[in-house]
Formats: sequence, C-alpha cells, structure tokens
Amino acid sequence: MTKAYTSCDVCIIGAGIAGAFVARELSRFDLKSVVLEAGNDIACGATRANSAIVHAGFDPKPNTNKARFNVAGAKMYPALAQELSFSYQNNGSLVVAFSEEDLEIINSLAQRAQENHVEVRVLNQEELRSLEPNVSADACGALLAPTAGICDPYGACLAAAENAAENGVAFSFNSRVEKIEPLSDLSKTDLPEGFLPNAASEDDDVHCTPKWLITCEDESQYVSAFVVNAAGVHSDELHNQVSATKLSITPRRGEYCLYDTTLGTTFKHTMFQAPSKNGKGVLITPTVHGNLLVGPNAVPQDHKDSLNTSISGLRTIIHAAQKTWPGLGTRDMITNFAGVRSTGNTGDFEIGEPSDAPGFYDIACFESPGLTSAPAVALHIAQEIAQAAKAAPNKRFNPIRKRDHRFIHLPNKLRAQKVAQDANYGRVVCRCNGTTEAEIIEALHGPLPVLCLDAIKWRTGAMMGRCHGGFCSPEIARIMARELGISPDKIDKRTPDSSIVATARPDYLDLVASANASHSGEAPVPEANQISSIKDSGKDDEGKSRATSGASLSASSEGSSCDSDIVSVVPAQAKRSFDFLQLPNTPVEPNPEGSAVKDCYDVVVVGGGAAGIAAANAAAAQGSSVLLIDREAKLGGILKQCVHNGFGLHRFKEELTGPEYAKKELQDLSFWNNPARALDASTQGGYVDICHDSAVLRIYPNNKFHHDQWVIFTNKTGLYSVSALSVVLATGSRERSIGALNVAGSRPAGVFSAGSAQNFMNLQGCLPGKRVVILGSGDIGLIMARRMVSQGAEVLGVYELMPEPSGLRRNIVQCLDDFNIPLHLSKTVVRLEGEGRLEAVHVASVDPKGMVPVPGSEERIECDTLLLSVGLLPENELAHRALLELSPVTGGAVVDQNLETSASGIFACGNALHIHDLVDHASDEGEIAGRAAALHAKRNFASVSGETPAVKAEVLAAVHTSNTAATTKPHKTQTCMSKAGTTCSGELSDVSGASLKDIVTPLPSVANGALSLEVTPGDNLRYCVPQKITVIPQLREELASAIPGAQVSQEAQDVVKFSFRVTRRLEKPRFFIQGGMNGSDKLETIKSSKALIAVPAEMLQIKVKLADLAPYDYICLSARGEEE
Amino acid sequence: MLVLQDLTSCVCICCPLGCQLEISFDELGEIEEISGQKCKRGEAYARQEAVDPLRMVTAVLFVPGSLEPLSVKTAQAIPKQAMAEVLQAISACEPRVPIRLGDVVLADVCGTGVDVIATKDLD
Repeated sequence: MTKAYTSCDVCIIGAGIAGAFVARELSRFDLKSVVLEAGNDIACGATRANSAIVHAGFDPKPNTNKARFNVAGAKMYPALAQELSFSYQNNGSLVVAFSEEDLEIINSLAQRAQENHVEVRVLNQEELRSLEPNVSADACGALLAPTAGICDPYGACLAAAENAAENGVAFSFNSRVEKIEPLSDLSKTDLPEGFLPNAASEDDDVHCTPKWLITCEDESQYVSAFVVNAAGVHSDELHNQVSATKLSITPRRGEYCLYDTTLGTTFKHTMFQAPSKNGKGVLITPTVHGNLLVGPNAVPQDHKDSLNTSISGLRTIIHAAQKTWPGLGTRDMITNFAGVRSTGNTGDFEIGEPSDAPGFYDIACFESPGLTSAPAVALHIAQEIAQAAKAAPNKRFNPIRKRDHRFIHLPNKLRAQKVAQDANYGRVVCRCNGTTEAEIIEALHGPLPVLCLDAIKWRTGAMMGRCHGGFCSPEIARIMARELGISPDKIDKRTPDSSIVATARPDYLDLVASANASHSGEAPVPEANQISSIKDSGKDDEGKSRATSGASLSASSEGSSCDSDIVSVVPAQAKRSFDFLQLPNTPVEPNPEGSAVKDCYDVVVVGGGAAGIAAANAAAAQGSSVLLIDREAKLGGILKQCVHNGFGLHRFKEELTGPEYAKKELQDLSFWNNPARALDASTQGGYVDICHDSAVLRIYPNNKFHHDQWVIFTNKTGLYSVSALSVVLATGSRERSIGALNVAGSRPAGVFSAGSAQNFMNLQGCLPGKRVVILGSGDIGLIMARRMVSQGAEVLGVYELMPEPSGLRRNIVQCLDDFNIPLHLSKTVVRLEGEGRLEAVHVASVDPKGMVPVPGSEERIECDTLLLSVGLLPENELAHRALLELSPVTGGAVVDQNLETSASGIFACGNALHIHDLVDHASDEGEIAGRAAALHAKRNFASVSGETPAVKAEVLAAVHTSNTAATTKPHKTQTCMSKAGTTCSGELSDVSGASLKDIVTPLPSVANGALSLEVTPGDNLRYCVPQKITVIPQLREELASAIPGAQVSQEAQDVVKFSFRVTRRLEKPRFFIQGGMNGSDKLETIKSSKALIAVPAEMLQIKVKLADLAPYDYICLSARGEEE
Repeated sequence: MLVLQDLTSCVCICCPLGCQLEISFDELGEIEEISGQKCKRGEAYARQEAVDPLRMVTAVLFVPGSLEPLSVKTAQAIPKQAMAEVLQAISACEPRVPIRLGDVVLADVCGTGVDVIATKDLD
C-alpha cells in the first residue's frame, strides 16, 4: 500500500529567502527536511520584489529582533555570496539630509547606529558631493554606512535553495499549506491513511517523533516533528492555526521603477532620504545588474497576493525620488513592479517557537530588513531545531555551491573553453544579455525544477534585457518544449494558468524533438573560408594540435600554464607600461602553414538582414574580401517572419512577401559567396564568406595603436576573432516593450511585442491569443491585426496614443478597414489586469496637448492578449560598447554621408542606424555603407599592413582586461595576410605612457584636415541622417578654382542622400536644404523640393550634390507646411 | 438646379504613398472622373476598387514534418469578398516538403482563377 502522506523531520513552509536559508542551514544536519512552496518557483513573494538592499543595521530600534538579526545577517552576506555564488556588492549607503531638521535626524540615526554596533559616519555637504556628484544641490549632509550592500535577492534565494537541494532537502512546488494540526489533537479517523501514531517511522531518513500534520490545498499530507513557518505575508495565518497568541499582518505594497543600465552609474551608494513625519522617503540605488532602482512607497492594501502597481503610486515615487536626484523622469525606465511587505502588528519580527506551540518555529512578520536578516535568522532557527532534535551533523554537507559567471562575463579564454566543452555555449539566445543555449539548458535541468518561463528569466538573465524577451522568448519556449517535453501552450509564463501562447500545433513536441535529433552533431561551420579560433594557450609549440575552425578547441588543462609565457613574447618595456592594466598573457601565434584559416577581411558586416546582405554584396562588388556574420540559421533577418506582401516595390518593381524579398537579395549574395570569386579578376577578387548562427560579442575599433578593427564572435564551433579594415553594423532594431511605457497594474502573460507574436505565429505555428487588443498603430501591429484575424482570433481594436496613426495608410485600409477592426486615436492602455494570463486592459483617452491620460476616461476591455506596436529602436549594444557616438534622437550612430560613424572605418546602415519605413530603403542604405566600407578598406590597406602585431596584441589584451574584466586571447595578428601577399611586420613601438583612454578611444573618422559640417534638423523635422557631412579640403579648393570644362573629381560628383522624418502631418509641404556660414545666422537655400503630404510614419529622402553642400560651414534641413 | 454627383473615396493601397483617391460617377453609375492619384496604378486601382475590390491574400500553413510553417500568397489579387473563403481553403491544404518558392500549393483557389503559391523554400 502506498502511503497517503510524506514523513519528514522538518517541514519548511515557504521558499522565499527565509525558507531557503533555513533549508540550507538545516541541511547541515542529518534531518529529513521538506520545503512546501505555494507558488511554482522559489522567491514568489517579497523576495522577488524588494529594494535588494543588504542594510547595514543602523536603522532598527536597538534590542529588537530586527536589530539583532539585521546586524548579524549583514555580516554574513559577503562570505555567503562567495560560498554560494550569488551577486553581492558592498557599495555602502547614504541617508541624505535636505534640511536642518533632517541633519538632526541623521545625528540621532548615528546614535542608534552606535547602540547597534554599526559603523557610520556623518558627512557634510562637501563630503557628500564628492562621493555622489549627482545628488541634488539641496542635499546638505548625509549619514554614510560603509558596510551596507546590494545583492540579487532572487539569486541569493536560488543559491540557498539549490545548495539545500544538493545537500538533500526536498522541495515541493504548487503546494499551498492549508492546515497545520498537532497530531496529538487528532482523533484516529482524522489521521492520514496508514499512519500509526506510536510506531517508528518506516522511513529510515526520518529520525524524530512526528508531531504535526500538514495538509496542502491539493490534499497531499506531510507528517513532521518540526514546522518552520516562513510563509511571508501568510505567516500570520499559519501561526494563528497553532497558537493562541494571535498575529496579524497588514500587507503593505511597495512600488518600484527600474531604469536602464545607462543610468546605473548615476549613484554608487544606495541613496536613502532622511525619514520624516511624512514617511521614510524613497531610495535610489544601483543594482547588482547595473540598473538604477527607484522606490518604494508603502501603501496598505487588502489583498495579500496582489502585485499590481498603480498609476498614482508610480507618479508618487518618481516625484519623491526627484528630491534626491532632480534629473529623474520616465525616460530610460524599463519596467515597474510592486512587492508586498509583511508588516506585523507587533512592530518586530516574530522569530522562534510560540510558548504554546513547541516544535513550531515562526519567521513571521518578516518585513524589511528581512532580506538582510534571513541568513542570521536561519542559522538561529536551524540551531534550535537541531538541538531539540538532537540531530547529528550531515557528513555529506557541502557548503559550496559553485556556479560559473555568465558566459558573456567570462574572459575569452574561458569562453573558448566553454564552447569547446559544450557547443551550446556558442549559441547566444538572448541578444541583450548574452545568455547562451547551454546556460538555459543547464538551468532547465538544475537542482530545482523549472516550472515557468520566468524561472528561466530569473535564473539566467535571458529575456531581462532591453527587448524584454521580444526576440528570444519564442526561441526559449522552443528550447523549454524540447528539454522538458511541454508544448508552448502548456508552458506557464509565471503563475499557474499563465500559458505563453493560446495554441500550438498538436505535433509541436515531436517536431521540436526531431529537429533537434537531425541537428545534433552537425555544428554549423563557417561556410567558405575558415577563420581562426582564439587559442587557449600562448605556447608556441608546433607539436600541439591547432584549433582550426570546425575542430574543437583544445583542452582546458592547458589554460593554467599561460601566465608564465608572457616574458618570452613581449619585451620588458612594453610589459612594464601595461602592468597597471594587469596585462594578461598575449600570445601571437601564426596560422599553420597552408591552412585555410583566415584572420583578416577587408570588410566585416555584422547582421544578415536586408541592410547587411546589401552591404556585403556592395562591398564584394568593389573587390573587397567580406565576412558576413549573422545570428540565425538562415539569413534574411526579420524578413523571414514577414510573410505578408508589400516589399520590394522600389527595389524590384514588384510587390513581394518578406521571404521572397530576402530570396532575391540572397541570390545576389550566392554569387559572391563562392571561393572561386577570390581569384576572379573580372570582379576584382571580391567575395563574401558567411558565418551564420554566430553572435558578435564585441567590436574593438581601431585606435592610435592599430588601424584595423577587431571583431570577436562565437558560434557552436568556437570563439573567433577576426581583423577587418572596415566594419559595417547592420544589426537591425528591437521593439519598444511594455516596460518602457510605464503601464500600471499586473505583469500577466499574454503581453507580446507585435514582432514576437509574429515570430510565434509565422515561424513556429503558435497562436499567441484569442481576444486581442493592439496598442500602437505601427505597421507591424496593423499587419499582425490582419494575421491574427485571418488565423481565427478576435481583434477588438487598435489603440493609438497619438492623434495620427503611425503606420502606413495602405495598412490601415487593408489590415483594419477590410476586417472591420476599429482604430481608436488619442487613446492608450494605462493598466493591465490579470494575475496569470491577461484578463483585461484599461484604456484611457489621451489629451493631445500634454500627451497624458485624461482622468476618468478609463474603459475596461476584456481580452487575453495585448500586442504592442509602439515603435522600433536601433539595436546599438555593439556600437555602444565600441564607444561610437550615438544620436539621442534616432538611437543609432551619428554618421556622415558615407554612413561612417564617429570611429574611422566603422559604418552603420539599415534599422541599426535609424528606423526605416520600407525595407527597400534599408537595402539601399546597406549598399551605400558596403561600398563606402570597401573604399575605406582600399585606402587604409597600406597603413594597416605596416603595423606591429605585438603592439596590437598588447593593446587588445589591455582593452579586454580593463573593459570586460576579461583576459582575452587576442587573435593572430602576426601574419596579416593580404590578397596581395604582403605580410605585415615591424618593430614593437613604444606604447609606454598610454592611458586607458588612449587605448579604448577609437580613431576619429574625420581626420587629415577634413572638415565636418554639422547637419541639423530644423522646423518640423524630428531627425535627419546623415548628421554630418565630411568634406576634404581638396574639394573646396577644386570648387573655388573651378575652371569650366576642367576634369571634375569623384568627390565633386558625389551625391548625398538625406533621410528624415517630419514631426507632424504636413499638407503640401516644402522641404529645404540650407547652408550657413560660421559667424552668421543667415541661411542660404541650397535645394528645395515639395510633396503632397508628409506624415511622421513615412521616411523621406532628398538627394543633393556634395559639391553644393561643401562651401558651407553647417547645413540645416527643414520642412514647411502649406498653412505656414 | 444643382446636380449632386455620386462620389466615393478610398485610399490607394498599391504602394506606401497611400494616395487619397476620389471617384465620381455620372447619373448612369459609370465612373466619370478619378482624382488624387499620383500614378497610373492609382487610377487602375480606383477603377477596380469602385466596382470589384481585389486583395492579395497571404497566409501560413502547417506542413507535416516541419515546425516552420509554409508561407503562401495568392499569385494575384482575388476578390475582396472571397478573402474569408480563400483563407479557409488555404488552411485546408496539406502540402508536402520539399517545397520551392513559387510552387503552386493550391490551383485556382475557390474558382477565382488564381493560384496559391509558396513564398519560401521549405525542406
């Protein structure tokens, strides 16, 4: 007979930070412990949503549980973070004073700190300012607590729980405890089936005499000697079941706004505000992930599990935080969230056994500083239980939970080893945070089960980046389906019943499994010419097997011997000069004789969408050797999922679907993607090599030490580094996500970016949802409205914030009007409703003047899906890391008429540069960039081939160490083979005295006396590209001395194409290109043109001769409507 | 006496410009004048739209053995009123791999005289 119950020594209720640490501490003893968690993951409550602060401990009243455990817990964190591999930073905290009254409060806090034995120091205004220059001018002093820190609460909880599981603790999720009863109180009939009160346990692992019967919602039962009540906001309810001394918890919501990593360095310390009669104030803090966190407020609410944010709450915290940092707004906000604190009626933590319930241990009313206190409380509780149980130590206890840093944060040497060990490390799935397939698979098969998509997000960082999973969630769903055997319509996003898509085809799982079987063992090898791997060893020993592309990188055992090799490679002088950068080993190793491995290309194109393919073709047509690197298995970028028609009217004079357009472009590419082309004199030897399934991790621009660009990328065959004379960035764009919109309410499943839904539908055959609201009238949203209706979903309406639709008019007609889908202008979604899957959205009218929702105009619309088509943003992670100048308006690089960025030899095109309305224009722009990149390579070939490889290696190594904490193995620059057959060589030049800034600063694109004319958007224009015009002095001279009939230079014949968008709808507009001279406000019109209509949705283009622009100092583009 | 003319307007969907077209009819119901178009395609579109609107239809459908669905389109525009029927007919197709771009997946869909063709290769 199977037992109807589970026996254990200790039952821990709740897998938040308290339960997880208790489980881990108890696993030191020979006790059978079980953790019962109501949710489907660890850290479902306050642990997931809080300020993530390890408080120093000056704040709690002396001699309280809060003070005792806070101070003790804070001291434990640094060692625990080491032992268990979770993120923790000791950044220190400041309580900022803004008035005389505040200063008094700070002094009394300092007094309290002394009583609590916490180190603090009172700072005056000057000292505060020097520590935190961005703090408000009104700040007049602060209390510094140097021992305070920040941590990753989910990571800490996961670490403790996994370590507990590895040491034998069992975890049961979706197990909400309903009843706790002392066995002695129960009549025979109430005992679980098969339980004999006085018999010894049949389970050998269970040592203690059972005392409690625990019954879960699903009727599963547990019998245990001890119970730990770590049930967060519900801890009062459990306590009250066993004790006559009643507790009562008031759930208090705390709302937060999280900001992009671009703001993550605004403050180094956690910035509190001095508490006042009006409340504790809100804090601003950096997070361990590099973001900036603002919050919380404290709003009592009725419901214990509701995590909805409110419109007013979000407004309040931003307003309050502006006191500390007046620069704060909604810009760069990436999400908002709420957590619920367990504020008890006693004002203190309730820790330990109630007098009337021995064997029952409370960790109740565990509000702030609960996160900080959890390890100390856990230690205390575990010791009490072990003593009462007379438990022997667990001899197999291992306190260490070792986890590697994320792949993306590893030095290249270790990355290469990882890929060699497991090819899935070479497949970057999350492009924003660099999470690899191997890391996702590892998390799926970790010590604790993964029961929802968000568990992967929190464990691996995937889907947590700027696109909020817009790109990678369809792919991660596919990996989850394959690894766990759950099809996407059964995978929950977060809570139970929060499926990520409504339907998936019935044979989804079989197809995913068979696709995997057919691919395994067949790593994608660079198609034509192979390129070198980064070596894991600097030894120049010919006997060792060479890592060539396609072969696995050799063993990790060689790695450790590197550090001693350096002296033989690099002369002492250079070494000394870089000591301050902790110079890693910098081997330079020649290619094996006769190897097909290639290190160098004239042009590397990053991104194989429309612009990238066009750039590669155009560069090859100029005779360049080109490497095209793309992330996906098939080239074509986003065109692959755009199965609707409407592409190619300009470029091919016919209307094509996305895949058809891509195929036409790829036909040209296949001509160049042929090794024979390299020897073809009729095409000047131009060719294109292709690396698909490959992610570029970093581009190192040329600088004053080397005149080529270094591109580091990875795929399943290894980690690679190539040298290029030019790089074209064609990395496309990403969609704005819900987080950026500051929508209040819950965070349910069923909210998709339109492109993400398109991917699910058109590439995986899943239907995202059945009752759909679309926010934003961008083209993808309109196209998706039609697609969803065609596939049987109901589309309730499209809501547009602006008074104008932002998509093309033809799409309004053929996607909305044809299907009777209403378009609501000047309306937006202000709140989401639904704990699991989306249940409703609340829309409000928008006042077109202030662009704010009109109070009282809210309307509730029941739906299960919200698609967002609220704009695209250039994908600029690589450009950003390469220190290229970016335009705050377009989000892309600042370029000149050749689409060359601020770094010499790096070009940008397509949606990576600015958002295009039509793919045809992106292709055209790709051609311009590709051609210019090829010409740049031709011009610069000579200067690069004379450079010294050893210096380059030094610089590369130094750059890697300083920027990424990575000790990269540089690529082999020793034999920089050119097509002409010259081999570069040279003496090691003196690089001593070079500052870090010198090393990472790219060479400017405007050099050798060339002039850069600034181009500014004037009246009615939002932006124009290019933002500058480069004019060589010779051109001006030629124009000044122009003799009729004389030969005209190429530059004088060049045509500049301006792309721009208007800010608002203009009837019968006229467009002006005007030039001005320094020292004068007068603008001369160079060219004007007109149109019938101009709307912000459409990109406009004007061509003008470079010669006409060249005489001026600056250029202004503007538009004027008929009415003006 | 003022003679009122029948007038209808529509947005041209031939290209991204989206011209606002106006079509006026004479007393016999014949098209008298078309205005607002910037090219000949617009005029042809207006003539067609006024009497029998046509639309291109694109769709995706499941192919046995391939997780990636097949994308298809009507080789030419079909009558707008037949769209739902055509979508229905397309979803009932069961093409087999390998499929090349341009392959006819469904000939003469719903008696429109128009074929449904594949818009991608699928192996």
